[in-house]
Amino acid sequence: MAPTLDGGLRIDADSLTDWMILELICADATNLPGPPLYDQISSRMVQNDDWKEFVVPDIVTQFNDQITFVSRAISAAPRDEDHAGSIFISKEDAMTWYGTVNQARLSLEHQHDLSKVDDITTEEDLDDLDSDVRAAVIRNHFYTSIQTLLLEFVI
Amino acid sequence: MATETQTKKNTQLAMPWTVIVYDDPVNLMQYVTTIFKKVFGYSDEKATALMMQVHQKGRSLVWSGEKEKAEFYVQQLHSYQLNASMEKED
Repeated sequence: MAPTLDGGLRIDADSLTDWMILELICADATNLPGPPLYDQISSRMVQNDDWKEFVVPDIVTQFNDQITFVSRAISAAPRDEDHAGSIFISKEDAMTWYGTVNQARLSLEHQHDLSKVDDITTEEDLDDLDSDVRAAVIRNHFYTSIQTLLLEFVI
Repeated sequence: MATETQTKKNTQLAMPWTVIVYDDPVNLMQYVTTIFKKVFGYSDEKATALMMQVHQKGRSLVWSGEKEKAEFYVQQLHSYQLNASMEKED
């Protein structure tokens, strides 16, 4: 991953595995356990009928559209016969990408309580974890890297 | 009596509402600061101070004022996936 001269971010993928990992962003984002995302972030908000009728549907649609956009961007990214290719995230699309990756991280957090997993500093720390949690920790780390680069160089 | 009731009603309407943001384990600190600057137009210093309050105390009163504007801000914060609500000030 690297920032681009036009103020965006480029993610390079060199193999089918790389593409599969990128596709997991949307798979994780759509796999949020428990109540829908909007219910989770608005759980303390007292919602009147107008709010439920006019505000909630727009935001729910926005969250779903973010995932659809990123899913299409990954599917449509050109790749050569060796499966090497790049995804370019423009400044205009940065918040959409950020939002989708955030949904993916939120989903992993709810599935595996990652914030309660002790600091992972060595490979041995990772080996001590259950395989599902280990995979989630690695994906969460990758997703956080994307968000950090987006915040630092694009947003 | 009618005037008194009306005054009471007006006073209630004029009571400020507060917008509150709650801590969560997912949103990055830099992101929360960025969103406070974007939504409220706060300086980097103020946005960072409020973000730290959310992080350390679990919640922060990030804005207060009239109801309609508070609703607008909460809507914006929710759209950025921040856990937020609004309350009437006592």
